[in-house]
Amino acid sequence: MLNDLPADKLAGLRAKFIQRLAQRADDMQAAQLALQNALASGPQAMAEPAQTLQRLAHSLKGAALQYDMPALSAQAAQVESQFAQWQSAGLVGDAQPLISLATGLISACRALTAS
Amino acid sequence: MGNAGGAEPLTRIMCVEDDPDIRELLQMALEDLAGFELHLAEDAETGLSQVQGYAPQILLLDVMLPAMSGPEALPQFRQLTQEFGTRIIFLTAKASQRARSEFIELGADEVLFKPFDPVTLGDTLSSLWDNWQA
Repeated sequence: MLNDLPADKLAGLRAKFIQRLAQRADDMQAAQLALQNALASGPQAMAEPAQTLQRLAHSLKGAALQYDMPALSAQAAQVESQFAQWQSAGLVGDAQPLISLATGLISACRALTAS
Repeated sequence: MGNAGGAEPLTRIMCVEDDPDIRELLQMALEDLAGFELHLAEDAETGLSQVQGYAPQILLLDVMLPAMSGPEALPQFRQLTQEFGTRIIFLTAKASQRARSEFIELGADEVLFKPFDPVTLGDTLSSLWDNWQA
């Protein structure tokens, strides 16, 4: 009975994590939209939303792994890594593949909350 | 911090972690399961404003935080907790010996990697604390 206690609690927290994926998706979508709106303005305007997206992806990567969702974690890691590389390169080049990656991650989060 | 002759048990921990799901897991692990007094802050600035009032024995500090990162905040946390002898541990997803060495060189007392085991995290921190007290 006592050994079940952590498992029950963990299951409850995992359910909460999945529910909260909707908020993570909303936050990432807001940053993605800000990034898209900033594309025409250049790297300086793009820096903050790009950094926000990277941080949100990083956060999701860690939390998903912590809650035993390795596929979602790997997808978030890819978004984080691509955005980090893009920022290191000075935010130059085509941003659309990165924005598409973020779209995929946002969709994955929404699909999990819907299921 | 403790008396010259006696080791003080670990009772009081502060965590600076921006992710709400990880904060809940830390609360379960350290408060519910391990029975520590726990204070949670969701960013470095909040943590810095509260750390002296709480005077934790161990500060668990996430690396990637909004606005000010864990490494950026470390010198200020160290200065604010000097009189309490607080041990500062980074909590990071960058699980490698190289990353550990880099964070220790920055001034952390120890580095723990994510994902952590919520069932044993309390024991891990207690063991570290006991070793530091010895």
